[in-house]
Amino acid sequence: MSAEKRAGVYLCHGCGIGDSVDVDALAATARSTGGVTVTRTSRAFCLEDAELIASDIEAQALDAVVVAACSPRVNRQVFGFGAVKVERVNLREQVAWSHPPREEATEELAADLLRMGIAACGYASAPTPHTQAHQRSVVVVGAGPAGLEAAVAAADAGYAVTVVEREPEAGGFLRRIHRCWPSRPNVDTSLENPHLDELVERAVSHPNVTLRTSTTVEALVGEPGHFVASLQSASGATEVVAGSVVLATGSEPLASEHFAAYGLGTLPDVITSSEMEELARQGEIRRPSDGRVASRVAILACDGPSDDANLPYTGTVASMVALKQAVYVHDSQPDAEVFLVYEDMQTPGFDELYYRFVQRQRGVYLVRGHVSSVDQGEDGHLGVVARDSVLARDVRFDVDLVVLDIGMVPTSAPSLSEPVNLHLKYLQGEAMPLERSGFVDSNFLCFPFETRRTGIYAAGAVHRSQDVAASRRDGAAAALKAVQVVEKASTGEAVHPRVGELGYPQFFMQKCTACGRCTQECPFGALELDEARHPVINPNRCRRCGICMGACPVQVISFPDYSVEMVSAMQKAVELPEDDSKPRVLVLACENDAYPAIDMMGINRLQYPAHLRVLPVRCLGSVNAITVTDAIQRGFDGVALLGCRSGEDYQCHFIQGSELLGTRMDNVRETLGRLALEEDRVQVLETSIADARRLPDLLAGFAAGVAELGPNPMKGF
Amino acid sequence: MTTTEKPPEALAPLSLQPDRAFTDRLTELAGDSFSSCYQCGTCSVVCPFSAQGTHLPRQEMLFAQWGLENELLSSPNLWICTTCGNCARLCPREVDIPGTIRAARDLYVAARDIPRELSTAFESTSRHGNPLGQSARKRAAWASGAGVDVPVMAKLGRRVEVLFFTECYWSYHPRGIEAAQAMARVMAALGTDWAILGTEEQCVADSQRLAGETGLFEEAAAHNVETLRKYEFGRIVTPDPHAYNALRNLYPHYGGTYEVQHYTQFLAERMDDLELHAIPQRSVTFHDPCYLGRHNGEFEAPRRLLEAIPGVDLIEMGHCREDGYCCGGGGGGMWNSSFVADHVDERLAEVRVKEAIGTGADVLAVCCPFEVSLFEDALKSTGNDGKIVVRDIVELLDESHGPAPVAGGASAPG
Repeated sequence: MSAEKRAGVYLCHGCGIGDSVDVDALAATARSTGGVTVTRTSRAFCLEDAELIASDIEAQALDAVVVAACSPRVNRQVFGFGAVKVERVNLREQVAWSHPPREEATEELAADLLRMGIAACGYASAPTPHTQAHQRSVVVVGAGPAGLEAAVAAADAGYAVTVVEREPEAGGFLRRIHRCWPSRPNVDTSLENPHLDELVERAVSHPNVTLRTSTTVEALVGEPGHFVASLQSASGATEVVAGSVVLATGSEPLASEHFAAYGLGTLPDVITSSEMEELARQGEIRRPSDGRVASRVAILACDGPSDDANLPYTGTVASMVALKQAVYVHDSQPDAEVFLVYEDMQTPGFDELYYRFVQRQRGVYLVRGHVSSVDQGEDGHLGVVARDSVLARDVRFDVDLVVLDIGMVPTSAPSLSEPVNLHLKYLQGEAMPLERSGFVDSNFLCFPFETRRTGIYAAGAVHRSQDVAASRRDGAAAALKAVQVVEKASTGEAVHPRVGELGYPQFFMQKCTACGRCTQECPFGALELDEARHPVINPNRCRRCGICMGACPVQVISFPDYSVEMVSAMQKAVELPEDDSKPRVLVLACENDAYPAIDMMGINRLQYPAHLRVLPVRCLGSVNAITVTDAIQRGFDGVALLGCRSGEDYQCHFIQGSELLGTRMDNVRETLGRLALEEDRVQVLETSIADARRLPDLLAGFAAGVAELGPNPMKGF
Repeated sequence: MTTTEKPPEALAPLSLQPDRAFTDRLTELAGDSFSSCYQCGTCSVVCPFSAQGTHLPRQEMLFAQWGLENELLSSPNLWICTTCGNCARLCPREVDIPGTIRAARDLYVAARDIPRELSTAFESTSRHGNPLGQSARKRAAWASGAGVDVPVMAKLGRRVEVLFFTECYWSYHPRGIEAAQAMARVMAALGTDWAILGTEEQCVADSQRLAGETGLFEEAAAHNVETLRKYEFGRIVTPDPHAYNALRNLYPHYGGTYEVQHYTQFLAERMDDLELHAIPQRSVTFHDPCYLGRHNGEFEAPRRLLEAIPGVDLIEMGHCREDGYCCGGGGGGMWNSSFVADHVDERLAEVRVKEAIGTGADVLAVCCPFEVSLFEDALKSTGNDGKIVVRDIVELLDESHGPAPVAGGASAPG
C-alpha cells in the first residue's frame, strides 16, 4: 500500500461471521499492515456503528475504508461515504456462509480476502468527472409512431427535440396502414383507427418539437451530451447540436423477389400484405387484375420451410397482420371466404384473444400447413394447394385474391439496397452495430434499450419486430433513456450497466505503442485516434467496462480506481503457502453475473473449495493477459476466469468481453507452454447469474483438475 | 389396421369448399366452441386411441371448422370416439369436443345408416326400454335372487328415503345381476329405507344420446320423469355413471330435478355403519369410470369404499383419476364393438386390462355396469384370463360385510 494512504479497517462479527472466523485475529492482521490507521470491530456495522466509520473518516482524515462484512452487493448506501474509497471484503456470503466454520482453510481464506481488500485501497484515487457536455436536446430520426412518441416524451421532459424525417410528411409506416388491431383485445372487439393525424399533430404542435421533413442525416459526430448532426434538405445543409439521439427509422417490407414461388410479380392477383392495406382503405376489396370484388381470399403467412428470407421478420406482428387482414375481408363483405394458411401462429398475451375472435368469424378458415403452389386457374381464379400438417394431406381451394404476409425488415438491415445510416464519424465505422437479422443490436434481457453506441437509442421496428402500439411505447421508453444519458453526462456519470460511475480510462501515453487495439476492441466505439495514432477517449461514450484496459499489450490504460496494478496488488496480497497440501486457485470473477452467482451460493449455504480466492473484475474483458501470467508465475496453482456466456446468444453486459478474453487466453496458454506449464491451469468458465446450484460443481471440478496437475513448480521462485 | 385406409401420400388433394349451412347446424347443436380449435394436438395425444393411428379428435374439429360435411360424417372416427372426455379436459381452448362429436352424430343419424350393432341397440331401447333386447316385464327379476327383500315403489305405496334406479345392465346382464343382488344385501345390512321402480323403470339412454340418438333419449326422459312424478322419495341412487350423468345434469331440463347419487357416493357416507372384515383378495386396483370421474368430478367415493375394507391395498394404475383410461363402453361404444374392432388394432378394454395386470393387483375393481363384462371379455381375448379378477366394488363390500356368500370362499379372520 502506498505510504500516503490512510485507511481504516472495519471488521464485522454479525450475520454469522464471528462464529465462522476469528475476527480479532483478522483485526490483528489488519493492524500489522502498512497504511492502516484505524481498525475496529463491531457486532453490526450496518446499524448505528456505521456512524463510527463516518466519524473516523472525519477525525483521522481517512482516504480509504475497508469494510470487511457483507457482500458489496448489499448495504451500498450504508457503506457509502462520499468521495472516500470504500473497499468491501466479502466475509459473509463468500466466507461465513459458504465454508465450514473455524477451520484453518476458512480462516486463511478470510485473511487473504482482507489483505486483498487492503491492497486494493492503495490504488484508488478520486476520479475527476468529465462534465463538459450537457446539451438538453434530442434528435429523433424518423417520424413514424415510435419517433413521434419519442419526440413528445422527450419534449414533455423539457428537452428541445428535432425530428428528422426523410419523407415529405410525418407518419412513417402508419401512413400505409388502414387499421390497427386492438391494442387491448378482448373476445369481441373491433379494429382501431390508427389516428395518424392526432399523433402527428400532438408532436408538431408541441412547443419543444421541431419537425424537419424531407431531411436526412448526413453525419453525426460527438458523444452523449454533445452530438452534432449534419442535416441535409432541399433548402440546404444545416447542423443541429443535441445531447442524444433516438433512431426510429422503422422497417420496409421484405423485397418481393423472395416471394416469386407464390406468383408475386407474375400473377396480378397475388399481392403483399402492405398492398392489402391500400386495398382495404378503398372500402371494398377489389382485385388488381379486373377490379372485381374479391369474395374468396387466401392469406398466406409465408412462414413455411422454404421461407428462410421471411422467417426472421415474421412472428407476432406478421401473425396479427394476417388475422387483421382476414377481418378486413370479413368486414367489407360478410359472405366472403378467407383461407388463412399458416405454420406458426404467434399471438402472445392478450393477442391470443384476438386470434380467438378471428377464428370465430364466419367464413374465416384457418389451414395449418405450408403452401405448395399458387397457380392461375380457370375463370380468373387462383388455385392454392397447401400441405395440411394435421391431415398430412394436400388441401386445395380456389380464390380471387392471394395476400402474402410479408415480413418487416428493419431499415438498418444491410440486405436492403439503401440501409439507413446515421453516418457516425466514429473510428469503428459509420453504421450502427447490428444483430444477426439486421436489427440495431441490443440485449432484450439485460439492456433492452441500450445500443452499442452510447447516447443513441433505437425504438420501433428498427429496434425489434413490433406493432404500432408497442412501437409507440418503445419510442417513449427510448426517449427516457435519451434524457437520462444527457442528465448523467452533465455530471460525468456513466449509464448502464455501471450507472453513476465517474472515473473513465486514463492513458499513460509515453508508453503507448500506438497499436490501436484498444480502439478496435471497445464495444462502444468510445475511442478515436489522434494524428499520432494514439487513443483519444470520448468519456461519455464509455461504459467503464475496462475492455481497453484488458486489451492493452503494454498496460498503459487504467481507471482512477481500477487498474492492472490494482488487480496485480490484490493477487499478490494472497499468501501462497509452500506447503504442497495447500493449493491456491485464483478466480477472476465478472462482477455482473459471476460474482453475484458466487454470492448466491453463500445465500443458499452451498459450499465450494476454500482454497479459491475470488477477485472481482468489471468484465472478463478487462482482464489483462499479464494478470493471469503473473499469477501463475507467482505460484498460483490455477486461474479460473468466471464470466458470462459468449457467442451468438451472448450474455456479456459489455457485449464482447468474454469473447475477447477467450482470444487473449489463447496467448496466455502459449506463454504457459513456453514456461513448460500445463495450459489447463488456466481456464475460462461460463456461468450465469442463475447458476448458483451448478456453480459448486463447476468450481470444484476445476479445482480437482488443477489438483491433478500437482503443485505449480513456479511456487517459491 | 388404422382409420387411414391408404398411406396419406396417395390421397388426392382435399377440396376445401366450406359448407356454412353445415357449420351452422353443428353450432346449433353443440355451440361454436369447435371454431376455437387451433390444432395444437393435445387432444390427439391424450385420446385413448392415440396409439392406434387415428387423428381423433383433432381431424374432426378441423372438418367441423371447415364445414366439410362429407369428410366429417364419413370419418370412421366419428363412431370410434367414446366421448370419454380426456381431450376436453386438457383442451387449452376449452373446445367441447365430446359435444361436437355428439352433434355430428346427431346430424349423421338423421341422414345416414349407422353401424348395424348400434342400430340394433337403439331399436331394442325403443321397443323394450333396454338396449339388451330383454323383456321389459323381467326388469325386476334379479331381485328374487338377492336373498333379501327388495321393495318396489308401486307396491310400497309410501315415501322412501332412497329410490334405487337399477338401470339396464344391473337388471339384465348376468354379471350385473350379481352386483345388483350384492347391492341389495348391502342396503339391507345398512337398514336403508329404499325401493326400486321395478318394471316401471326404463333405460335412461344417456349413451344412446351420446351415440347420436337424441330423440330416443328425450322419449325415455319423458317416460321416466312421468314415472318418478308419481312417487315421493328422498333421493335417487344409481349404479350407472351414465344414468347418474343424465339424471343429475340433463333431467332438470326435462322437468325432473332430483338429488342424485352414484351408489359409491351413497355408501361412502355410510361406511361407518357397516361392519367389514378382511377378504381373501389383498390388493386391488381401481378403474375410474369416465362419467363418474372426469365428467362429474367424483374420484374419492369409490376409493373410500375400497380403503374401508380391512387389509386391502389400493394400487393405482398410471392412468387414474382425471387421467383415467376409457374402458371403451361409453358414448355407444358398448354396442359398437365390431365396428371399432374393424378400425383399430386393440380395443380399449384390452389395453386397460394389461395396465391393470401390470400393477400386480389381485382385483380390478370397477363401479360402472359396462365395465365388468368388457374387462372380463378383454382378459379372455388377450389370453390373460385368470391373471386378475374383475369385481364391482359393491361385490367386494358384500363379501366383506357378511358371511362369505360362496361356500369355500371363507373370509379371513377379523
